[in-house]
Amino acid sequence: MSDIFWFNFFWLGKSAIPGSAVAPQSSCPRLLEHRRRPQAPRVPAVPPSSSVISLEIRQTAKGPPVRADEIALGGRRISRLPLSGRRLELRTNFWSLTVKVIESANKLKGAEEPSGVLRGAQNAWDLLSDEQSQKHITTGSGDLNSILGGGIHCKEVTEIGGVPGVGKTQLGIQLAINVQIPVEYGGLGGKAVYIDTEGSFMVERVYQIAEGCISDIMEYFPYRHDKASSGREHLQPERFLADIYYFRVCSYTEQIAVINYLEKFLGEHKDVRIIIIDSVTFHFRQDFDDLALRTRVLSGLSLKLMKLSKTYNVATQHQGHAGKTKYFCGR
Amino acid sequence: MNEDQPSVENGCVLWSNGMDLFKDAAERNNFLPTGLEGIDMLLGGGLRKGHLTEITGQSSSGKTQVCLYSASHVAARHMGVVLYLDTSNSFSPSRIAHIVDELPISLIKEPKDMRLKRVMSSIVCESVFDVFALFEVLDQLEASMNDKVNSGGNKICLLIIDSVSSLLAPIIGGKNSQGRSMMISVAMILKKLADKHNLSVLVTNHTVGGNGAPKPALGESWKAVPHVRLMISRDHGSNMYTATVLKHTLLVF
Repeated sequence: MSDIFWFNFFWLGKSAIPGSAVAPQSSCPRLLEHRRRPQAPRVPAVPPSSSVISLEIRQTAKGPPVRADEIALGGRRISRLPLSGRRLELRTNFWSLTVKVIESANKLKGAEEPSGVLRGAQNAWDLLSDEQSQKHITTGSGDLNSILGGGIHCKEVTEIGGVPGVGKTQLGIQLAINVQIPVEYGGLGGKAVYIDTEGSFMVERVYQIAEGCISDIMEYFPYRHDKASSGREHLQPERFLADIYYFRVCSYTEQIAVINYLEKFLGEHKDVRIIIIDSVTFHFRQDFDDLALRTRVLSGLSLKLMKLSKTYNVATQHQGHAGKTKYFCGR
Repeated sequence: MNEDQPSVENGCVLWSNGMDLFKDAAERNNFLPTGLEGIDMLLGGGLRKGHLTEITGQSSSGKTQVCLYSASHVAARHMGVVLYLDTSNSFSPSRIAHIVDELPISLIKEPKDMRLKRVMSSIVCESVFDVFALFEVLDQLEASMNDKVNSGGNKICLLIIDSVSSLLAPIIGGKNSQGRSMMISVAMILKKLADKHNLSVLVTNHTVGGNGAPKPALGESWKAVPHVRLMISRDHGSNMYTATVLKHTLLVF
């Protein structure tokens, strides 16, 4: 997902894709400036028989303001350029790289299913079967489970809010333990990431909850753990504690940094099944004077979290406090 | 002039005169029904092809439900493929299944499970979580629709983006104007797609403003973008939904 180079291409010349009338961006100042340079590559004349797309690729800095500029001027990202079945000719120049993409003569004409309309998209039927086979993380309370529809769902963001002292942190710790219940006992057998912004994660309490969870498992499945006697060694509180990845953040910049880093982290640790953030708005309450900026930053954070949940099939649970901003994230 | 510049004649769009457009509009089935009678009535028949319709409202006022209903009804009536771009993981296949099951039997004549499978296979869902991903998706869509013109496959007739404001709101505001220019880029691409391929585009927006009445988000620049704007609100006490037309190009007030 992370592009090293931000490629920006302008459609120079007649595009050979039928049906599209692309107007030249002659009013674009950057293009004009580029054309004035003597060494700028000339786009070759397009032979009518083959479909040739000439793209000019320029390497620019990665930062979002520059990207936004480029997009506003009509540039497009080609990280997902459909290059399958095409020949690439690279011709370098002092200023830039010209890539000639020549489509292969025989186009693939397979059966056109609706998902062919967009690469990587699923249709609702597949999503329904996925959804029905999804497992839930139990919260430990039957009533809460029934309100949530079985428990906390993976691929979703759940928000827990309430007045101080109502039990949000305890619920978070309980979930961090419950996600680790092994698959043979009806759980997910995954690991947890706990991002602590307030410093309310008490290790002794986690140990107690882990012991309680283990004794619950022994109680509900008395016959099972006799079969797999090796499984009994795995049910130790120390194992449960070892499978929680704990991050402590002390400012909002650290919080934003951790959430940005999580993508890479989840790519390396594929067995993480829940991310708990306690609490997401804590650092945004005291330092921020600009309310509009706070709303924007928090909405951006929530989008990133939703993307993480969807991509890596984790449940994200964050906690807020009652009386915070109207911002609300997911289900 | 460089030989790579397209000549002026090739860059021109085809003309049509007013009478042709009127006949065309009268004959063709231009409206995609949403399935909700009140909303269809307000829209003048449904979501109009070639137009951008916006539904705005406060949180949990029913915007996603309108989108899900439109998707189900359009797919159930064989009108084409529906593309649902979901920005907040709010697309619920089980809810679509529920809506399709509740459709009146007289509408479609085939066994229920086959109908469900067919309807749900023609709703394609993609998650986009930031505006750059949205640009990519729209570009891919444009390229594939250009191809489909030639190969004649199952065409998209409805594009739903739920919600476009959650993608655009974090980038507008502040000192730079790049966010706003990206928002207008998105708007131009959507309208171009709608017009060129005769799609109907449905987007949702949230509301802001605690001082007075809530007003739609995304500011003044976005006001001019949709052809039709509806605001829905929900009265929690009586569970009644109210829809108001904020802007409509066809109806006169």
